[in-house]
Amino acid sequence: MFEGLMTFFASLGFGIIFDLRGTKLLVAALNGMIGGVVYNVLLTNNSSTLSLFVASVVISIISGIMARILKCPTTTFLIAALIPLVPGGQMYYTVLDIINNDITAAVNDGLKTVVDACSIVIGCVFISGLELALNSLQRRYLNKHF
Amino acid sequence: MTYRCYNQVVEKVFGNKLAKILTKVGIILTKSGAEVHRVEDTMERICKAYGASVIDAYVTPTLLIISFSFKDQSELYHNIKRVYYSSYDLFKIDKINSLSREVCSKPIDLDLFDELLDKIDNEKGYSTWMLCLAGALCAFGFAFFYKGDLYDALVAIPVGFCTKLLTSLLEKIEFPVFFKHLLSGAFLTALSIVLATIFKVDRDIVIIASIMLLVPGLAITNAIRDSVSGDLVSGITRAIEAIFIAIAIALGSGIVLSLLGGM
Repeated sequence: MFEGLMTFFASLGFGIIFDLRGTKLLVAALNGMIGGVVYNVLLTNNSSTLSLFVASVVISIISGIMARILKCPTTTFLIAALIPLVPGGQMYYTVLDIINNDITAAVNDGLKTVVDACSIVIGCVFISGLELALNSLQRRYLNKHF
Repeated sequence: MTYRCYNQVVEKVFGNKLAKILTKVGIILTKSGAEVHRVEDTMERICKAYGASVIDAYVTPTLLIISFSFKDQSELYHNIKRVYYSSYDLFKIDKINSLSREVCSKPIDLDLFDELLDKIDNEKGYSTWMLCLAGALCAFGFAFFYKGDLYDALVAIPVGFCTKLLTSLLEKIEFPVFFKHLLSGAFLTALSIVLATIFKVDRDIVIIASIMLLVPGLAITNAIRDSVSGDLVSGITRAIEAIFIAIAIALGSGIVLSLLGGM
């Protein structure tokens, strides 16, 4: 839980690096914090793959809704929040294994990195696809843009 | 007859101007890291708002093409632009987005539009020092996220600060992307190992916390969103970009780790 709350600072930093300002910066950082908390809470009882999937789905839904409310692109909130979940630590351990000439561990960690990255991607794809579908339905039946 | 000729000349000037402005919009959006679907959609909407028909916009992360014509006239207007360097800036995307909303609901004079675009494009972001502080903040947060304690996080702060300083400086001189990440990865690993040995903290956590600064998050997110909305060419391009950056970071930190690993 504490680790999750600390994600706020990581997302805040990334928001500044990608040049977000004011309310949008705060929303992006809070979104990242929610993702971090979801991931860490789920991680106690589940695999990291499932936790990452759920966290990425939650982040994507929140970004989609906030983008509609504040009338700005979805990516504004998505990127800064999604980056903390990227399995950078696993990637580092893979490199460390290769250098220590421990190929079995390297394959193990490398595969875990790929699977974790894929679970984030699938969560994100799922919601982006849903968003597109809802958009086209809205355009078709309400005859209104965005 | 003369009147019609005059009209055609006016239309030609207007069309050419519009084509130039549309690619300008596209270039700012693409450089700032917008999804392809958004760039194409924005260009087409603005085009439609100015009364054009038969609009075709094709965008990849490195090339922009726009082609349109006005009603009951056969003259076609095109513009092709190569996009060279990208610096990610979500604020500009947001600004252009609201500008294009305004323009689509009430078309403004093209010269004014051009001026507004220049203003957005030349807008200064956060200063380099602010970015470095943001990098330090990121590293601080990530140290806790990867189950480090307060001492790990405090050591991660200067590493994050210096890493962001190096990447900003390399970005300013438009250093090649691959070597930029390789160099930054090598630098942060060396600095982390030195500082972790001096202050006796877990060096793995310090390295991971600051390596997250280099992760190609925007490229990954855009690769996903492009692929989902059917722009497979740019989806693949951005995925390859992300993989290349990841390889560069791994290579940079790997070299230093194998040289200084025994410390």
